Amino acid sequence: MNAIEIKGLKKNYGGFTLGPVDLTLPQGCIMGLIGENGAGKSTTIKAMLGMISAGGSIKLLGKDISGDTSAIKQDIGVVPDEIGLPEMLNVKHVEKIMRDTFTNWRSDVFADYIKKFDLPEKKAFKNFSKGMKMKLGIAIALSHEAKLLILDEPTSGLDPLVRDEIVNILNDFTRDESHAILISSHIVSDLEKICDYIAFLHKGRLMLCEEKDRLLEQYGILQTTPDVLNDLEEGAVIGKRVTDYGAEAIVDRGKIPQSFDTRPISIEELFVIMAKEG
Amino acid sequence: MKGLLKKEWFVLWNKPIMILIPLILFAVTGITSKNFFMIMYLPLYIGILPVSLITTDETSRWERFALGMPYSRKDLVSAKYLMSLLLVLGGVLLTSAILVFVMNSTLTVPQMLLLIAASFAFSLILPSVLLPLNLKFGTARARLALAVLLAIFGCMAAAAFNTEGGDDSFNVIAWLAKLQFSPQILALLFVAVAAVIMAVSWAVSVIIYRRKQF
Repeated sequence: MNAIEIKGLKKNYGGFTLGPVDLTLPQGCIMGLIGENGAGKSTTIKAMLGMISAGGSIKLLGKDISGDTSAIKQDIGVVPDEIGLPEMLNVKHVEKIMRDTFTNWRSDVFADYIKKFDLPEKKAFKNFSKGMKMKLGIAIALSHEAKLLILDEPTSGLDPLVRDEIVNILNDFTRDESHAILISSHIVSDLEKICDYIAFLHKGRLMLCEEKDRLLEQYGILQTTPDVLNDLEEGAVIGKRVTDYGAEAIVDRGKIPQSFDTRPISIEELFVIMAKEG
Repeated sequence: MKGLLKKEWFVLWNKPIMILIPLILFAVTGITSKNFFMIMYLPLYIGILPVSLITTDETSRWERFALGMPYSRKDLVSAKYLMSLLLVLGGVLLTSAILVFVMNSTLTVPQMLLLIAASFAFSLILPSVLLPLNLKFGTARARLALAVLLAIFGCMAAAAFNTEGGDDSFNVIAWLAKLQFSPQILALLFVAVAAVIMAVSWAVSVIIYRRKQF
């Protein structure tokens, strides 16, 4: 069973059109949804959670979300870009609310995360730092035996230490093969560390959705002259930068002669060049 | 639903003084001046408190967060109505206790029943009007919508209760008097009308909320 199956997702906001987006995330995997600000990442996630109406079909954990999604959401942990808890609540209040919200709520697991994240129990939410708020959101999402985590820009605006901590926790979560994560971010380096699948969104268009290792295998950086690039087979060059000293291009390794020496590419480099060329 | 009600309660009870001071003022003023109507403000005041929670939801972006949890849009709306209903019931019990035990009212049982039923009914009608307006327009624009609505309602009420008109003009008080209902029947009528208004208001709010995009 796939954790996420999206087919033909479309949403029109007047000046902005998302899609059509087709995504499939198998269980046991982490997918990174990469895109610049305003690319459509949050819109995709909102559509998945029924926060906006959109065209196409969406299945989460094998169930269609067009009807009542409350039962499906028992198995989903959602961490939005802003943790929408009323500012006067504290951790103790939150625990009491969530205990009566999720049927599989684990107070012991929640308490462990609160301790691990060093979050104060009686301090009002309004006095939490951005990192603390995000950690509380993650603690909630991880304390009800969720099978699928959906995170919208969880590391945005956080310092590198907290980001690293969050990335490690997410890595631990997918050790169980029945778990899956969809995580959106414009901080590509974070996603590169943990994701099995990468989906690129650019100006509302899904440019690719592929296994990360396959992408890194398929594409490479070739440093050569502009003339050599011009002689390559059509489709071999994904994007290029020509200077007075030569040319640097992202190439499809399968479409260039094997004698050419390419260096490995990072997901960030690939995204930037694809977005520019796209 | 229990989780949602708990959240409403925790937010509401965050500033107990803000709730308790007006309640104490209404109660003390009503008791000392032996003014029943002042006491009847208690449930009216308590009943509209959940409406103020919509502002907190808006500023904290709670609705978006809650929709990521196992709650439907209908649940989120229903929690507001249920909270209003529970608070009004609590307020009516408090009012009744004050009337019976503190004020040693000289009213007969049927008169007392009518007073309590009227208090209950009007306390339910107010959130029934305010909740859909706030959910539709947001708290800021809802105030304007409420002002327009009150103006229209005021004109209609002035026309309906007009006692200065000629013999041909319609007058609600005269019409009710002609029907000669007993206080018990009137009490039941008040509660039934308020219950219908609240049910219709809830259904309208659910429709409004289902169309909302977050």
